[in-house]
Amino acid sequence: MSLTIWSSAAEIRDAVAGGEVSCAEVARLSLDRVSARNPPLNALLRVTEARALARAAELDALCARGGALPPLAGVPLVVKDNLCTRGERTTCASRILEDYEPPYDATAVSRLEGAGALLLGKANLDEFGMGSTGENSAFGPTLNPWDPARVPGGSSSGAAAAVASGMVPCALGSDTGGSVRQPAAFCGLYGLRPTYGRVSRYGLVAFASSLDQVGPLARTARDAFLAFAAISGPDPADSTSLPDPPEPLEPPAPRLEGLRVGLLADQLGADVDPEVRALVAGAAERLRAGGAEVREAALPHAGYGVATYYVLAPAECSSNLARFDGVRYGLREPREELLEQYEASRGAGFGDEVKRRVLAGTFVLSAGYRGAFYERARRARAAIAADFARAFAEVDLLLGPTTPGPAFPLGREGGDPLSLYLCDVFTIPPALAGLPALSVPCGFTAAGLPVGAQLVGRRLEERTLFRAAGFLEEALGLAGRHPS
Amino acid sequence: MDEPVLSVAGFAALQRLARLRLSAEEAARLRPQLEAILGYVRRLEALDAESAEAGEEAAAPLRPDEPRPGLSPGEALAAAPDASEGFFRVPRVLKGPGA
Repeated sequence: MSLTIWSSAAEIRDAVAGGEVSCAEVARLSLDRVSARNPPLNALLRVTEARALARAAELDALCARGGALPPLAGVPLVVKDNLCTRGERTTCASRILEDYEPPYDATAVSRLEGAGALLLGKANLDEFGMGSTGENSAFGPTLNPWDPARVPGGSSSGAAAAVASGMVPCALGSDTGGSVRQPAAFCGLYGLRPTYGRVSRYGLVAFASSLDQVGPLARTARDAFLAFAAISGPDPADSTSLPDPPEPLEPPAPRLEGLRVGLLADQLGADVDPEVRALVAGAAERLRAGGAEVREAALPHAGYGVATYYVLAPAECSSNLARFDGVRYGLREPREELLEQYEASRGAGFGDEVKRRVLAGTFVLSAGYRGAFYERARRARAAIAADFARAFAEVDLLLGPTTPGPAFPLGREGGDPLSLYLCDVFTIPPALAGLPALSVPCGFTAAGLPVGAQLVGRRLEERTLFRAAGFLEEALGLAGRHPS
Repeated sequence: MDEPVLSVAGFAALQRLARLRLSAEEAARLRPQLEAILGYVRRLEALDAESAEAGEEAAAPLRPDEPRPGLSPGEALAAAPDASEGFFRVPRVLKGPGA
């Protein structure tokens, strides 16, 4: 068998379709890698071996009968543990859902399995998707495969670490304010936040419903595109999913002719790590050399993004998480009085970051403060969306850093959550505007840490993002580099 | 609005509104953090000079109000901490002479 743990989803699919390898063999290769690498990294909360092997056996039987294989046949993957999996625990890395087994699959999960993927496990995360380090998991932090003293980013921490360490070629995460793109940048991966509504959220445990999107992380641009295409399209079970038909599986050619790229120069200022600045500027130069027209662009209100997000996301979180009350599912702390039981169950079941956001959200929606906080934030969101609309009248893509710096050491928060919120400064604005955004590897620091550049596109123009990403992937030649 | 928005009493009331009981130790830790966050987001006041309009929120489309398959009662109750005779069981809510 010529496949290795670093083979791409596209290579695995071709090898399976060509009869070179069985789905069961591919599953075994991945499961062995999980056994070796998961104990130190804590990327996966659970391994769903029986489910993966059962799907592999079905596909191998189909192949033996000469049947046509689905497009991702035999591709192993993992999904963030806030995506529901029927009969497999789905914890959101929270004590309050520690034993929860959903009675249904998320649409994104069932679409991937329908396309032939093998679900190998459920990935660690910051509790309910709230955090940017992976440290807010009730089941322990995930480590960065490039440097285990550092965070992998979050909140899709385990998904990123599993892909970067060669357990699987791609994974599904969710992105509310950067939770796919930031860990992708910290782990040297492609991470897509699709257009709001492009992928069904049915079965994604809700955090902030005006922002949440499901998106893929992968080691190659093509794999990220394939996974995105497989999960895209309308879903009658999610009334916020867009009616546009699914994305065709064939990726766009990596050609830049006629492409106008706006470099967000004010995102390359003194607050950004000099190595990150240089690598993103280098990516812009590559695009220019490859035939794109690169000019400067600006988003004058983007600096209000973090403040806007940390009003709106907690507000929605306080409402969405009201359902966890120890009645229908999840942890219950029995009390004589119902109200006391709610308070005690939630107090015992939620971690610090979730409590902070539930309280902040309750505050900004409370009588007397709603106008000062929530309504102001809604206006700021509209101003940021208008900035993007103006920029996209001039250019087809925006380019900047995904994060102000590379992955930082574990334990940085030190009781100051606000300082971590500020790390989301570049990933939040496209999320507020509902636009597709892709983090693309653009190089390594001198210390060997990966750095990501963020491409932002117009609504529903994911293909344009992948044109540029495919070009940069070839031009920068980073594909062969893996964590030791 | 420059004074702290969260007095100790106000913070206790907020916990009640959020249906969230904090220990004294947690409350002492989280209250200043929440103050810092709320202080930071006040920078949005600087936008008041601009006449940005938030616009109406788009309403989610509604599907026809027709029955369709869903979870069976058994499936819906399977994850409940306490269920009985097809119902979720909770502590007594109404108080009366027979309570």
